[in-house]
Amino acid sequence: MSLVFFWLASGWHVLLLLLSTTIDWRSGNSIHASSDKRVRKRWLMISLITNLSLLSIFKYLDFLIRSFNLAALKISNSPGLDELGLALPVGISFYTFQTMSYTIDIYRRKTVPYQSFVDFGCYASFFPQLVAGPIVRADDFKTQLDRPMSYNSANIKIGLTLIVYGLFKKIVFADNLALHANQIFTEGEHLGNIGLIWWASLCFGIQIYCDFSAYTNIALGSARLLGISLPENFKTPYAATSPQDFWRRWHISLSTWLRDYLYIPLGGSRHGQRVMLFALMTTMILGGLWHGASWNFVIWGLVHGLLLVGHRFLSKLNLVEKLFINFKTGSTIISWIITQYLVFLTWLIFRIEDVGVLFESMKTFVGIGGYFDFSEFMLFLPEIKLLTFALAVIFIIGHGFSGRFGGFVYQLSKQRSIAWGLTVGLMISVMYFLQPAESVDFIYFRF
Amino acid sequence: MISLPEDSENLFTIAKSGIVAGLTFLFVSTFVVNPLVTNAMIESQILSNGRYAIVYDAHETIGEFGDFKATAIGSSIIRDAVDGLCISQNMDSKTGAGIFNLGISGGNPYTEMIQTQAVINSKADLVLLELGPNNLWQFYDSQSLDDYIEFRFSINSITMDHDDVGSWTELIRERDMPYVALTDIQKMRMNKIYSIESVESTFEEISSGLPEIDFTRSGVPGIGDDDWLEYLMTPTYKPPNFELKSSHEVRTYFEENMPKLANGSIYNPKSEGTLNHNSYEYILRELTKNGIEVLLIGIPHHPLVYQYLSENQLDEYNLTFAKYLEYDGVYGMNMFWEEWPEWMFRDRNHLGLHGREYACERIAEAIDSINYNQSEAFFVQPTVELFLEQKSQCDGSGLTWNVISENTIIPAKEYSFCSMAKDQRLPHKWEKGVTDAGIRLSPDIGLSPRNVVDGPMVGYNVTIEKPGWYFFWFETRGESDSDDTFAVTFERPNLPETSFSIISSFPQGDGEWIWTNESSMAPLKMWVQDSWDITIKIWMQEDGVELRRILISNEPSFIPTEEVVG
Repeated sequence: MSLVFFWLASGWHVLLLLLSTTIDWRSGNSIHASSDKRVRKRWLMISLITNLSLLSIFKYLDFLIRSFNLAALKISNSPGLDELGLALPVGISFYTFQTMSYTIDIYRRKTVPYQSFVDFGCYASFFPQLVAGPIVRADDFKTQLDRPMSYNSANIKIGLTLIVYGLFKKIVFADNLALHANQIFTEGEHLGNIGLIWWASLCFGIQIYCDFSAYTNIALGSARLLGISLPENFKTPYAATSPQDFWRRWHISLSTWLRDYLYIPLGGSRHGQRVMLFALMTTMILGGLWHGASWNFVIWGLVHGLLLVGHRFLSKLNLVEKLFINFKTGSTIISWIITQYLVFLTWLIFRIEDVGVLFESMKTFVGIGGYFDFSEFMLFLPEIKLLTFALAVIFIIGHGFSGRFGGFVYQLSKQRSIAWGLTVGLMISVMYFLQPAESVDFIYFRF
Repeated sequence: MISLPEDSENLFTIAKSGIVAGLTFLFVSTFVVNPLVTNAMIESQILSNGRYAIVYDAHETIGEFGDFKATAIGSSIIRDAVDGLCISQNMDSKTGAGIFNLGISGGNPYTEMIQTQAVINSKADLVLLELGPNNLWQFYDSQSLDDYIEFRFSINSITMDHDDVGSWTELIRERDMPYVALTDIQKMRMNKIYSIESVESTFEEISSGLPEIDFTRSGVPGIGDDDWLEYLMTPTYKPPNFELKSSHEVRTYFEENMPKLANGSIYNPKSEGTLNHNSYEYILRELTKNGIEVLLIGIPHHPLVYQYLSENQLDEYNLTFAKYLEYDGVYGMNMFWEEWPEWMFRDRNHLGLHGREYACERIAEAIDSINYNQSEAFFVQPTVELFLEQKSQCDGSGLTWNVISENTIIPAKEYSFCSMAKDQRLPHKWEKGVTDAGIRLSPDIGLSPRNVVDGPMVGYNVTIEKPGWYFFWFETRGESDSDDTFAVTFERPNLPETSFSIISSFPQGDGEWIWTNESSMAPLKMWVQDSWDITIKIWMQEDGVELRRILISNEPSFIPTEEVVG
């Protein structure tokens, strides 16, 4: 079923998924079966090289050619190489990372191979999360597959709630706010107006969260309907009070993957500051690059790496420690404001591909040469303004509260049938009638 | 990871939740979103004009109207031709009649057909149905036409009730069916198109703290407001257009546009078989079957239009008109072939204020004759020549006034000569005897010729025998607040006309006569070298002003008053 789903979405690219699945299956079994370290390593390398090659060829090769051409043009004005123009296979970043973790975990003897190829195939290509995650660990999935499937009504209710909530976030919040962010960033006008840049950044921040977490909710909900529980990917990231805290709440399955399979192997934080710095910056830059073959993602990862480093050093300062001890609430609020200010600043890097527009926007965002003109602000925004403002306010309030009560999905799921039906009916109505005419693709489908 | 006790739910509770969710959705859609969208369409700027959204609410109001009621249906041509309040007041046959105007911009028989059932439901006594050559074209492939049909059908689908759906659905083209909502689900889909804008508009209303509907936002009052009924009879008409242009500009317009238009579909009607004909036939059949009489009305176009049409070009229109008169209960008033004067039109095919006033009388007569069961032949007799005749007449007294004493008084109505407005589209003139002993610029509708020399003029021949300074005083009064002015010029034989002096200092509306010599060119005075023959010309600048006497004095310090002059 998953393969049919993938074939419908991605055509012949299903063969790449089959190739990756087959090689990782074979590698996993061979690693597990052998006690010879060299053999085990060789099979691990086969798995890693296969997956990273697929990723490199289909996702990064054209980017490298483009970068090479640019450099060659600057240096020698020589004619460039032709780009391959390969279409990006759907979900390649997710399933390659997922199956790599499988062979690495077997190599590390943290897990054992799946007993059947079908089970492993199901893990590698599980359709609800195949396209945009979350990245599931083999062991977590296997445990559930090994259990008898439990199609109970509670799971159905939770699954439906997750799906409706995901669709609600995507259609009502993400797609409506996207119109504002797109207008400002695409037009590239009035970039000196600080109001417009802050608003665009806020809109995009809400959009990307509601978009990505919505997909995760739908994936989790669909999996739940099949009796599978997938891990949470977000925990109110805009409540984070430090860059480190942010990465514990944002795209958790990727950040933990990067931590376990990149940061720690590169040395982590237990081998001195230099190693830690190297490991952290490398992890974050590669993490940025994972998002897309573009320099702005590299810079985005780099800046987040710098923020994490900066936070590490700052948090160890005596003054800061004392402040947090003596003025806990005040310090927490200030660090929340600073963290979110910086996080939303980095969204500009994530969103804007045009260097000129990005540079102007960032300057304005931090207040260099910016101005505020309310009339221009109102004039330049799309026609639907007040509704979008209202949605932003509702999101901020909802986001702030949802963490305190175990989350909206939990609260809704435990409601009795009439209250649940009324709320879901209301959500469906709002979704139906507030769906913008222009639909926007899930952002993380690109990755 | 979220978990619930496994026994907390069962398939029955899930099914119950699903049903509740579905019902909630239906409730919200029907009782929240639909009224929200409908109101926003009427009251805000979602639509270019809220009038598009009021059709079915209008029929509902008409249905509640107790006395004789007639509903005008058609395009903007009928909208601009029908002044329901005026017609109602001019009718003899029924008192307190309601003549409702639902003409709408771009409306054609096909798009208007879908309100037939609503007309029947409203139990109208009479329908004034527009039938002009512009309504009988063959449908053609056009994006703008398709867009208009989609727009109108969508809006009407949102606002109509289930009982407004009639057998007109059988005439809807396959390609237009997606825009006609016959079920709640389809209606929901239509609402969705405008729901976001409606919510936005509601937010705007809340944020601006508007306690009541802002009439100017959509040009339509809220349903049930004080102005609502009046608006349904006499809608807000467009401001003057051709009335403000010079004759040359109007002719240039026709020269540039009419050759192409004359070859277009609106002036090349068909006699049968088009979707428009099918729609007409459906409307006539259904209305008459349900006991509703129909008055087919052909509104004339601007007289210059006819010069561009060849002989027999509109024969098929005539044939259609004649054919439809054969239906029982259908009457006709084809004024299209009457040549109404230019000044009755605001543009090529829409009547202006004067045209509407005249149409009001004609339509009132027609409705009366239907109610009195008079002959159908009555409705085709043109009586419009009266206007042209009346307009060409202007005679002065021919007198010359000799200034020999210190103060010479000239009664204003004894003007030596006069001329009508040079621009024949303007009906304004100086009228004698309208007020006590004076002359008055009429009619007073707030319009003014753009150029003073286009306006009506009265002239006074004066001979001044003694040299010296002479001061000119005018006894005048104005009626309206700010738009009563006239201009004065002085002429001498063989000398060019002097500059215009605009006089505008009148008491406002209290009916008091005052003497003034203050003008835009300072006090009006003239140095007379020796015995001079001069001409004083008074031109209309803005209408409504009255002039009783002119006083010529050679005393610089003399100020005429009621006590002194008498």
